Amino acid sequence: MLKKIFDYTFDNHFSIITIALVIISFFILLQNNHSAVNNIRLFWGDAIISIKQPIISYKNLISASKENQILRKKLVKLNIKTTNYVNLVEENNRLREILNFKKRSDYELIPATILSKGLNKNVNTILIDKGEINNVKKNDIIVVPDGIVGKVIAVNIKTSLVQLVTDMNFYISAKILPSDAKGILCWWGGNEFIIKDIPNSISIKNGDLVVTSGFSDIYPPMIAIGVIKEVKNSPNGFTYILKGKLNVDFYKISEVLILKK
Amino acid sequence: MKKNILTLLIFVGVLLIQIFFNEYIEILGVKPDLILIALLISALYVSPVFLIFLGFVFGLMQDWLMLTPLIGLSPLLKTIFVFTAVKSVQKFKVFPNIVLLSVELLLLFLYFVFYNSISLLRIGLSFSNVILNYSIPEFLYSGILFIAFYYLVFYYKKNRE
Repeated sequence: MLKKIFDYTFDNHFSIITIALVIISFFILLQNNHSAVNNIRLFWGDAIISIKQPIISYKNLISASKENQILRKKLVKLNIKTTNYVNLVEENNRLREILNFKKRSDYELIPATILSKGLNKNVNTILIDKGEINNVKKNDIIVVPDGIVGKVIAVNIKTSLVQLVTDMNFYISAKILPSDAKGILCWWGGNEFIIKDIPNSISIKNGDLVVTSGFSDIYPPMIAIGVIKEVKNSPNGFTYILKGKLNVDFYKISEVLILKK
Repeated sequence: MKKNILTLLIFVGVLLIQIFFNEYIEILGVKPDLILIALLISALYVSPVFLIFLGFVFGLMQDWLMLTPLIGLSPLLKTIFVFTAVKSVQKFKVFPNIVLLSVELLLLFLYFVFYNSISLLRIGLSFSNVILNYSIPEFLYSGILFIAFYYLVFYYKKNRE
């Protein structure tokens, strides 16, 4: 009997090993929400930072000259705009003083480089090169000039793990301008998002801007998210299903900003 | 033994390329799965048991290090697909063989279909969207690389003989 079992195992060892590895994989797959999973990712992040930094620096150096030319042109345009802006700020402050408004809180911006993106097109987390030593905290907001990128979900000494807007578990309270309608926004594949349950009595059209509503302890108001590109009535007939395009091209970003209060 | 160590070193090299140069090999956001390509090519000459362990270990490392959405999905699918690839190599022994090449390409395509379906259908995307926007582009990129390496290995073996 024992010999039979031994012979069977020996003859089918390849299949048995495969089944065992499949079971282990299943077990790991079921443990995805465990905190140890993020900890191992972050441990790796700190380990690779010293190797990856020179590669990123070299890449940046190559693109710097091209970027410099573009920035010089933008600088001239911005200088013209700044003159107008300074006047507007002064006017705004004067009016705020008159109306007794408190000064809006300022945000500190910390630049960070993306160390690692996901393998597949459905990227939903990135690793950045700023961590505890740079005063990065959990729930800090990550932005680029085009709009919101995501939020920090785990911090290690030198690196942080960022959950992107393009994560299926990422929900954000959004406001549609100019109608001021508010709803919960979530990712809808590729560079698209969806907002449901907005009453169809409100006027919303393609091209309307979507920004953060500010109804959250995490996200400050008026950070750009995207634009509406499809307005549909939901089957219940009372609400809209709004589809839109995210402003940020997640496949192209290589540097981000950490927004700190 | 020497062959296994060499294969292991190749896999470590491929993983390092996938980690450190991932952004440089992407085309329009599509990245090839170099580990999967290496596994399917290795099915032609590496011992099955060693290869199945490589599939599991490197699939798991890929999930840990590449920030993939579901940790454990790559080793699961890679183990199953390596098993199928090894069985098809054993069936169509002659290499290069157009039937074998087709079977391996089909496995490559099915891998992306399963991987993307499991990752993306749960958020409510339609199956056709997953196939057209995710699986087919990834398959085309990885498939071209696979065919190139398949014949590269063939010519290397032929020259050595």
